[in-house]
Formats: sequence, structure tokens, C-alpha cells
Amino acid sequence: MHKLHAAPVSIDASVALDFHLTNSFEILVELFAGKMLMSDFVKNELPKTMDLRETTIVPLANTTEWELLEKLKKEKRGLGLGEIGAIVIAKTRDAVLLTNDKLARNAIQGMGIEVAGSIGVLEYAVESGRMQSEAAIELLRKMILQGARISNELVTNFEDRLRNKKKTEVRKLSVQAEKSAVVRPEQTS
Amino acid sequence: MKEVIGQNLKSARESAQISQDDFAQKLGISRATLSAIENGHSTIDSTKLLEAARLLGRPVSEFFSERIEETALLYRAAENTIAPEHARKDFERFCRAYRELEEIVEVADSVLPPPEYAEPQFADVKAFAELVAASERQRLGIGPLEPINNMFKVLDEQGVRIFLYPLDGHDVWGISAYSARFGACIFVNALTTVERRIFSLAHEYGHLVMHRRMFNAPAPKGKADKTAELMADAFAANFLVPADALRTVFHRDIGEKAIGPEDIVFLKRYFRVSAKVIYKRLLEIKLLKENGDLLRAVTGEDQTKEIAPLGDDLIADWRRVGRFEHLAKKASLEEIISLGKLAEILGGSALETRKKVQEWRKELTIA
Repeated sequence: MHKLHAAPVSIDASVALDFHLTNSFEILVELFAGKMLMSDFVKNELPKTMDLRETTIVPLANTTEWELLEKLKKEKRGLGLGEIGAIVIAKTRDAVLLTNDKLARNAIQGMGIEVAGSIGVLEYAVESGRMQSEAAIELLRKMILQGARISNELVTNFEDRLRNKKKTEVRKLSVQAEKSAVVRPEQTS
Repeated sequence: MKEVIGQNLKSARESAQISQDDFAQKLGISRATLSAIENGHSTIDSTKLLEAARLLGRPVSEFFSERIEETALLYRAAENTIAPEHARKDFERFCRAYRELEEIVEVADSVLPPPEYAEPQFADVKAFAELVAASERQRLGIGPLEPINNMFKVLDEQGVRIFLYPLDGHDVWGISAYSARFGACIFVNALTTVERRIFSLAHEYGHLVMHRRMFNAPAPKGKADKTAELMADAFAANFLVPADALRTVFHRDIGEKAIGPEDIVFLKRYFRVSAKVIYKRLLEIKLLKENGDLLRAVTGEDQTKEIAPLGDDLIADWRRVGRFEHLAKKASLEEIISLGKLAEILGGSALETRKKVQEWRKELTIA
């Protein structure tokens, strides 16, 4: 089962903006309805007009959360409050962290937090049948035009994976079609 | 952490002159709860903290900064101009962000702060300021006859934190501050002529090298120290327009036959100062006698306007190689800091910062 299938997600500004700026936040809503968490520190970084439907804004309220925030703030000086807030929520709510930020991804190593970025979300959208491969590739390109920071290598790998998957599916379908074509005369006789 | 947040919250609330009762009401909590938060006995929840930041007009990250003595910006006890508190807060925030950026990139303390010149033992304070200006030019490798092409670049390379800030409606041209941790910091009002900005920068730098002992107050007080101001003006005039350099150019390109507005414009462009500064320097070194008509012709009535004004390209040139901007770009493009942290440091939203980073990335593309 895909890691994004069951668990809640804690989304940070990088991924939220990728989808918002390409007018595709709806995809996040469809994929993660009812389980999309956002630290209020992340919300504070985003445009006030952003539509955050189906997103639960989570404040940091208890001592454990503040202690983790304090620890990360001291140890990971390159991270902002938003990224730290997203990590704290992911850790304390057993959520998958959604971020493209390299530093945030490095920071959670050893913390037992699963992570995915915009690419991971798009792959999941294709896998779960909510998007076609070509549409996902096109959307990723739009995100990059809007300032998404995703390395060329990751983009190429993503495109290759989706195209290979598509070829495999087409091949499977044609094999199935061939089989049924062979079987059909016997069935009709 | 809760103690730090509590202290900062209390200090910001008090600065905004809001009573504990009123503030608690605005936050939708009891006064006792607010008191416990401010005293570090209770943890605030982040929603309330964000609301408090919004009510106080401060970025939320500011409430996490530990205020230890060595990070406090100190002002001259006798400051001639007082910037409003919001401007000083932004100034302090900039100095703090600058230092944090240096630490993250690991170039903190790579530049020594400007030297401190001992207080003059002789009566002629202007002569002392002239000596300090000559000494500083020499220390910075500026030849005695060379004009300073970009004052912003010169000081920026010395690690002076220069904060250009548009301050409207206040008669403030520049402010200097010093802190053991941040070093020399200069605030320059961006809503003045380029010539005025350059002179203010040199003037404030003069205070920083000559009056360091006077930087001992957490907030400037409104009593001007006339001698200190006189010295800082003399420093700036001599730093930007050394007498020997002016004499050399004057004898080479102007001569004493007739001095007209074109000569003043030529000299102000050459030394990159205002026409008024050139006029005064010519008088001081006796290359010109009082000439009211000439003065009126080159300065006019309106102090906010300048004859043959220098363009803002000088500022843009500095920005292109400015240390703060370079460190921000480096930290971001090399992924030493996250987008959110960069937004905190630059004081913008995640969206604005993302667009900025996108532009920076384009700069690195070979066309």
C-alpha cells in the first residue's frame, strides 16, 4: 500500500504553494480529504487568500510539541518556523511530512517520519487513478515554472517512471486484448 | 522557550503601550493566563502567539529570539534625531537577521569591526575628525586623491550593516548603532536624495569610529550633542571630499578665473556628494569666497531636491554585490536554509520569497 494512502499528511509551504500556484490545490483536497494537517505556522506563511478547504489547521499546544519545536529550532538553524511546525505535526500526529525542502528532509532523518514531496503526491495521484501520467508530468512542469525547487534528476526519473508505467499498462492491455481475441472465437463457437 | 516567548511578548506589548487587561481581552484569554505566559509559567498555544504577533504588528519569529545583553543594539546617548520605534525595531530585526545569516553560512566574524579612534585631546575637534577621515581612507586602501565611487560598497565590504529604509514624515536621515555581537550598524533613510544618503552614511560611520563610547543607550534620547555632530559632519566631508583631492581637481579642471554652476555640478558628480557639500568644502579650503548667487543657483530652496542628481544606479550597483544579499542568495541557492527561514530573514511572505529565489536561480542560468 502506498505510504500516502492511509496516514494523515502534514503539509508545508513548499508543497502547498506548488499546488496553489498551479491552480491544482483541488488535487490535494481529493487525495487527502479529512487527513490533511497544516501547522498554523505554515498557514501563517501562506497567502491569506489561499483556499485551504479540507485542511485542518493544527496549533502547537502542548509541552511535547513546544519542546520538539525548541529542539529543532536550536539544532536546525536553517529551518524556518513553518518547516519546523510541519515536522512537529508530522511527528506528533504520525503523519507523512509533505515537503520539497532538502533541509527539512535531512532534519527528519532518524525521527521515524515518512516524507514525500510534490513528485510523490503526483505519483500517488496517478497510482490511485486520480490523474493520467501525462497530466501529472505536465503539472510538474507547471510547478517548476512557478518556482518549485525540484532537481532535474528527480524530474527526469519521475517522467521516466510514469512513461514506463504507461508503456507497461499499454502492453498489459494489448496482451489482454490479444488473449481475448484468441479466446473469443472458441467462446462463440 | 516559554520564558523567552513570554519575555518578548511582554516587552512588545509594553512597547505598544497596551495594558495586560486589554491585550488579554484581545487574545481571548484571561489576564491571569496572559500574566502566566508573560512570566514564563505557562506555554502559549501557537494560534494565540500568531494572533499576538498580528496584533502587535511583529513577525512571529521575533518572539523566539533570545535577548541577551550582547545582542542589544546600542545607540548614542545623545542622538540628534530619533527614528520612530517601529523603524528601530525593523533596523534591529535586520541586524539580527544579518548576523543569523552570517552564522548559518559560517562567515560570522570574518570581518573585524571598524576601529575606534581615541577621543581627541586637543580643542580642534574638526581637525581631529579630518585626521580620522584621512586615516580611515588610508586603512581602507583609498588613495588620498581618489573619489569614493560607491560609499555603500566601501562600508559594506567592511562588514558594516547598512539598512536602507523608507522612513516618511520624519526628519531622520541616518542613525547608527553598535552591538558587541552585530558590530557597526547604520540605518539610512531611503526617502532622501542619493547624495544625502551617501553623506548620512559617512556621517554615521564617523560617529561609529569616533564616538564608540557614546553608544551605550538601548534607545536614542533626543538631546543633541553638538560637538559630536560637528565632528561627524567634518569626518564625512573629509572622508568623501579630502581637501587635497578637491584642490587637485580644482586646479586641474576648474581654475580660479570663474567658478560657475557647471563647476559645482562637475565636482559633485566627481566626488558623488551634494552641490551644497562641494560649495562648503570649497569655502572651507579657501578655493571660493562666499557667493550667494552661486549657492542659490546650485542648491535652490527645496532641500529634498538636488541639482544634477546622482542616479539610484549607485544603490543598485551596491545591491548587486551587497554582502547581505549575497549571503541570502548563497544560503538559499546552496540549500543551506529553507524557504521559510529565508522568508523570515528577508521579512517577506513565503510566496514573495519563492519568487525572489526563482529570480536568483535565473541569474545563474547562462543565457
